[in-house]
Amino acid sequence: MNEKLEALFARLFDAKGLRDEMSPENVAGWDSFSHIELIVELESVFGVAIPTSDAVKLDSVGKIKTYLSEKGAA
Amino acid sequence: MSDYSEVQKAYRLRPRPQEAPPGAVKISLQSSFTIEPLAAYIWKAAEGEGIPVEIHVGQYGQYAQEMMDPAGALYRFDPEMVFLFAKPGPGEAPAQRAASLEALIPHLRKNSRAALALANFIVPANPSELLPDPDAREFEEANKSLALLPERHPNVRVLDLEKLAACFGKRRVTDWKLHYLGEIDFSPEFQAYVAARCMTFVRLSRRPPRKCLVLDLDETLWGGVVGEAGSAGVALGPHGAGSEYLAFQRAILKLHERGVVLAINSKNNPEDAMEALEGHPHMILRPRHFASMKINWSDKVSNMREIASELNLGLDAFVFLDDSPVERGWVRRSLPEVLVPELPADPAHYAAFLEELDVFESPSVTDEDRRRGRMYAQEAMRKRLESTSASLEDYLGGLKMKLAVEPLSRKTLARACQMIMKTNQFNLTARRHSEGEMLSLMESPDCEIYTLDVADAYGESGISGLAVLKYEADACRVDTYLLSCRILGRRIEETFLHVLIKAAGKRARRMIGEYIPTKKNSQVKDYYRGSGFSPIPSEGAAERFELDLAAERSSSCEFHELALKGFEI
Repeated sequence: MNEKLEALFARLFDAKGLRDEMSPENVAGWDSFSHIELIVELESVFGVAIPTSDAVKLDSVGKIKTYLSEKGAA
Repeated sequence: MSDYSEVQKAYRLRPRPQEAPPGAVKISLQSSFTIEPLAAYIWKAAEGEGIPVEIHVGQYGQYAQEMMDPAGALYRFDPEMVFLFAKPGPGEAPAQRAASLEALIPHLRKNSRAALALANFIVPANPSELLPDPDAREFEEANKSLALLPERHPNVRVLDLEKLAACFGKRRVTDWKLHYLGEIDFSPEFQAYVAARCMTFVRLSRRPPRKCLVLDLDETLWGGVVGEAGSAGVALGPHGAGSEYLAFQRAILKLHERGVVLAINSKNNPEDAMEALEGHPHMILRPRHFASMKINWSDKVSNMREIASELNLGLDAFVFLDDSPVERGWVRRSLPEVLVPELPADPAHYAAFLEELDVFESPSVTDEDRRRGRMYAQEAMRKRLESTSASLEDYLGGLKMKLAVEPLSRKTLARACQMIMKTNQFNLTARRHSEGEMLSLMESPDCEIYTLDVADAYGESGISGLAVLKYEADACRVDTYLLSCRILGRRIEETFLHVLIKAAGKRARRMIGEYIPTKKNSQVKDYYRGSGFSPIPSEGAAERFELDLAAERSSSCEFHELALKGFEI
């Protein structure tokens, strides 16, 4: 999961590496608009459905990883 | 990564110079829902066409406040073009929203020169018989009232979003995921489609629309080669093979009826081609529809040049359609000003392709536009009179010309703005004032604008001349002076200038004429010198001339019957 996620962050935000504390505060370009792109990409990469009520809470890499694990994504 | 994310990322990371590149089109997007992603698609489309744009996006749902606040972000940005996408709120009557949108227009006018492209409403649609849309009719009615706005408000156009949605497919207009995540109403694919349409508006603010469609014959207007199969053997008819060509000809005829000039550029024996054009039972486009027919064995580039000089149009007014990639490439390389689109390889797609081409469109269709087809035919009759007249005086007398000069009004504004954009040859300064600028000049006390209407024994040419006079201290400066090319060579400039001189003499002591050279206006380089003006110092490429209004002795030309409407000299 980490590799796919790292690749996704690199594609969307040109981010280097993957750390749990990465969030809109410290990743350039991660704002409310690109967050939508992030959610859409997460759904397609990991094959999960992310309802809007969950999507708004996924504001750090750590939370995203926990969420994906709970959903059984690999 | 999806195309959507790619486009958004490219836009996010676009280079942002401190100052917009020179000539960038400044666009503001205003909306009642999230419209930022559309900015990315417009930016991408504009980049693709090499048109620099600078885009400002209004605050989410704040369009009314932004348009009403003279000191707000919208007016500080100073856009040339505002796109407004607003839809009725839940439970709100569409008519109510349409009325509140109209109420915003005066605010925009007061605070900005920007043209407004106002999107109409997408009519809700539901395929279920059980769940009909009770308010679809209300949306349709509201759209009808929105469609009338341009008549009441200059510099306002309607972006027919309902039609775009219908053409695109309403089921695919919204991506519900994006809608609920971010109130993004348009799916990525629909955004790209809407952006392409927005580009039509952007393009028109930078270059005049094309005027003439030049067509090949074999495999373009009909299937097969007429020189081999004969007129009866070409594929053209209502059913099966040949019906795609018939539909294509119908689409061309529609454009012609909207004022597009048609011409033929074909390698053929003229007798073979004419037999088909005149005699084929299903031919829709007949010789009378074409302003010029070059059917010969010369190369197509030379033919193209001849058509341009025959019709007195610049090469940048032409679009060339030919089924042969070789001919297309040759014309495109040799005459880069001519637009040579990639005609689809399969004629089944010709008609749809032409209908989406969108390069002939005028910002507003004026009476003059609709008359253009007929005017080209009248011009042919004038040419006949010219060739049978013993002298130029005989010819000018035989035309029985009537000139009418009138101050610019709301009624004539659209045509005036169109001439400002389109007139290249007899145009002393080629200043391309926008409709908004013309409107504020029209209302300025230091400015007078006159239009010239021309008619003769063969018909009406309509409004064919325009002058903008600016009064500065004791001088009257001719900011803009132009005549449509279709009335040149009839000494009309003598009479028009005479009227302008007399009008200026009532308020000023001197008249200052300017000549700003462009690629196309060298024919008027010596116009002021030849009209009694004396050169005075000037800066840059512009030349300036002066006329002492107290001592001038102009007169109108004896071949013109002159009428002044709404003012005296």
